[in-house]
Amino acid sequence: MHGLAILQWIERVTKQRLQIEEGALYPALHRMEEKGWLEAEWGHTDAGRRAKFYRLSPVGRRQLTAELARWNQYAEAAALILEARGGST
Amino acid sequence: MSPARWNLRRVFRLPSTRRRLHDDVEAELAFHLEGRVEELMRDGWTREEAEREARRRFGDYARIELEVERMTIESERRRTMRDRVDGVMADVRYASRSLARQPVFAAVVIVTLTLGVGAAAAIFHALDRVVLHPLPYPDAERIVYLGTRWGKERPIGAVPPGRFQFFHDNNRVFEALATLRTFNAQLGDDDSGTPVEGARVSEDLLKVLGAKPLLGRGLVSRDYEPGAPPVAVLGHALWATRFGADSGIVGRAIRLDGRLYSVAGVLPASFEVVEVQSPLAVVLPLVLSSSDLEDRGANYTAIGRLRRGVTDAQVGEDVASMFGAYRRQFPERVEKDDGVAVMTYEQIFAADLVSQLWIMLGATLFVFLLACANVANIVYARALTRRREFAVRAALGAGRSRIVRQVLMEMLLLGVASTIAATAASLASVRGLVALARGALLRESQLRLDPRVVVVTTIVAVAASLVIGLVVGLAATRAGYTRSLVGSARTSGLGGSSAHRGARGVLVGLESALAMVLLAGAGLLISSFLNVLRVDGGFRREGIYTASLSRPPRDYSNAEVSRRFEQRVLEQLRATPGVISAGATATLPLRRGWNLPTTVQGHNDLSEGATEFRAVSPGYLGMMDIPILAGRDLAETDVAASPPVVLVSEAYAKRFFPGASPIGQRVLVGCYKGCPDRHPTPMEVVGVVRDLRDASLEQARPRRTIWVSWVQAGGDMSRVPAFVVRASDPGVASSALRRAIAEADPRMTPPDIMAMSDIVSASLSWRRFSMVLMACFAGLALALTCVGIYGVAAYAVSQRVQEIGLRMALGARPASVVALVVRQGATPAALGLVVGLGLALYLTRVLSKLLFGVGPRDPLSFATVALVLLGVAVAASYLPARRAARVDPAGALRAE
Repeated sequence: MHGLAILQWIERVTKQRLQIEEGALYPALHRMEEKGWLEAEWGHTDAGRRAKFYRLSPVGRRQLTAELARWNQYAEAAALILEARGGST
Repeated sequence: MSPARWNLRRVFRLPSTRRRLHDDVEAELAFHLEGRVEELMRDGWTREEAEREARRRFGDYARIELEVERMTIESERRRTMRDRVDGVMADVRYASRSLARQPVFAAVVIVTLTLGVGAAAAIFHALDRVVLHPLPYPDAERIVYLGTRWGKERPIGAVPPGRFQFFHDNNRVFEALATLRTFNAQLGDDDSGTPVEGARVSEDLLKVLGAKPLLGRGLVSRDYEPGAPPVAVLGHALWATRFGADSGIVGRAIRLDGRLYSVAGVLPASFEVVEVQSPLAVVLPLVLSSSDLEDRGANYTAIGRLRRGVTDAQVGEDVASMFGAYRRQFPERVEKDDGVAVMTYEQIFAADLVSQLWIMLGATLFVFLLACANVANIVYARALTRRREFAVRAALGAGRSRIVRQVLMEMLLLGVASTIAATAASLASVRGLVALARGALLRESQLRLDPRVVVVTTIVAVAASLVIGLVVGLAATRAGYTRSLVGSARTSGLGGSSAHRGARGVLVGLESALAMVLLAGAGLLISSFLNVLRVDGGFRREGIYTASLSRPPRDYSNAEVSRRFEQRVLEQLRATPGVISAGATATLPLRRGWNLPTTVQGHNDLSEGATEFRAVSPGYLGMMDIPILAGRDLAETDVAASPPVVLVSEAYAKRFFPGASPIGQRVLVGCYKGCPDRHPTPMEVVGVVRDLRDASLEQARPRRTIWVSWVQAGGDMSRVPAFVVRASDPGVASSALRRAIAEADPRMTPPDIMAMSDIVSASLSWRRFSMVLMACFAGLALALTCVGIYGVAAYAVSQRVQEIGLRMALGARPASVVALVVRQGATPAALGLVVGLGLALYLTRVLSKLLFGVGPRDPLSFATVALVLLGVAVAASYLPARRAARVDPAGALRAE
């Protein structure tokens, strides 16, 4: 996926509820590439235009799993706190 | 840029340019914006509106572009760095594997380089300590010594006290000038006291050195005032050992020779200004009395700190003009040929050592070059046998630079290994140097491992390895080496192999030339040493054993006590079975002796300032086989109460009583040009003694000497003599000496017992030092050259097996094959020998001062070492030659 496709995907799945500064995506992509989470390669789009494509690397996939687990834990904890506050009032 | 091209860049490690990185970032971001614009236009936006909207959604384009670009450059930089490190590591791994496959080669190179570099490092180490950094003080180059120069003789590093005082009061070039004089004393109570060495010093000594006391204070003005309470400053070693480094020592009292002193302070460990047996134990104030100022003896060390910025010329001028003023003011204190000298620490204490060390450093340079030539030779030989490997790698795409880099990497590894070994070797051999220069200046304390020496060693060893690697790598990969792939190494090398052999021949020639120079030097020093050994000092060495005593108890300043002791020891010795005869002397041969002015009575012009003075027991001369040429020997009847008598040496008689018999003449001892104010008893000349070389075996002329009986010598010439016995058994002699002395006075410190032959040998320690070193270097050179010649000859034989087989098949006899190989092996060595001979004839001049009884171009020495070298060259090529003669012609030809 190239950068624009990633953004379009985010817009699609969030139903355009998440408004982000589009340019900020690129430093993030490069940083993940440098860390080895993403693999990058120049290629051509279906329309035949040259673009830089990113793919999740095995390392990146492991990282994603770990981050997801952490996020879930956090979300669960947050939900518990919110529930607890609801109960006390 | 296509992915394929991008990958190629990675594969071939092509450097990415900033331009390309910038373009990539721009292309990526532009693609994004363009995509958005198209999308918006599809939704019905006009192009202008769409572009504005896309920009808005994107955010701050310039900032983001810059940030991404910076990250790309940074990660690219890291990647190239990693690639480079990986490349070097791969080279290191490859090189170490390649060396591990040939451990003998690696070992030979390491050992050779270690010997070459280690020898130079050890000498450099010693030289660095003694010459470049002898004194551990700030701005030490401004510290100089005032000395005395007699005519053309080498100046001595001390002055008479009056001269110091005058210079102290009148000079303009010294920031501070101080003097000191050493003494021996007994520390603590009389019976259990420890003998120590101390110095009396004038006020400014610490200021001259720029040193600060470790504890308490140094000596200050009030300590020098008349009637000041006696104070002492302790040396670091004494404070640490005897007082357990007690920080509360200041203010406590110590007893020195029975007097009480209050401790004012402690000197730092680095305090070091004069050559004494052990570090100065104690420092006391030195006050020069008016009678001290009249003392003509140059026995005071004068040390000064020059003002900042004064030039050598200014110093010389000021010192000369001051000496002129001194001479005008005190004409009676200045003698003919008398002069002053400004000297450095090294000039006073290490002049001999320093000049020898420079020569030895030069010699080690030769050894080093020789080692390099030898390593180059070995590496070259290995490179030749590896031509196939190189050719294969070249065919697979490795460039010449890649192969040279590999050779360089191997040499670097070997160089580093050699550095480590050479540093260890130089440290170990420096201990040997100290032992070899026994009694000379090199001291353990001066030879601590210095990081600078290690750095220099490392640079030299690694640089030499790399230069060899580069030269050999380039030479071995000269055009045409790829042809090795075609056919055998031999056939491909027909053109190249003679060139290769030529290069190695040059190396062998160079080795022989260097070895020849070192051998010539060693030959000259060895024959000098043998010549000195052959010198007859005029006194007996065999079966003579001596016992020297130091620091007798204080009551020995009473002549009666000392005389009784001497009598008792001699009686005891003479009564011991196994002792043939016994005697006593104030001065042992080849040890520093006394000299005194003498005047022939009634002839004030027949006088000299320094006549050697020997006080001995009657019978000593006979025991030492020193003949009386006229008159009689000293006798037991010449006692303190009888008329004083003296024996004079031949040279003395010739100088002061030419053409007449000196017997019956009278001499005033201790008087220069008569004794106007004193009336010493004239001593009657009763005999003439043969001239000796007893100051040094190498002395050019015998010195004028007078001999007196120990009991008539009077004064404090020596409070206790050295005892000498003649015995057939060394064990008997030493136990007799020890027992006799201990029984005569149990308080006496045990004597230092030495055989006369050992005293002679110790007096040659300088000579032995340079001879042994030079012989070691020459031996090393010979061994290395031998290895070089052998290596080249053996390689040549292995390359020419077929040719030799052919010759033999055609009827050549083994003897002629041997002759052929030996001739080819020894020829470059012989050519090198001729070059080396010329070089040696030119260079051995620097040895002149070290030679004795042999000229720097001594034909016999040169011829001998040339023959030795030639013999070694022939022998080294004979072994491969014999193998060549055993070649089986049929087998050799079939192998083709």
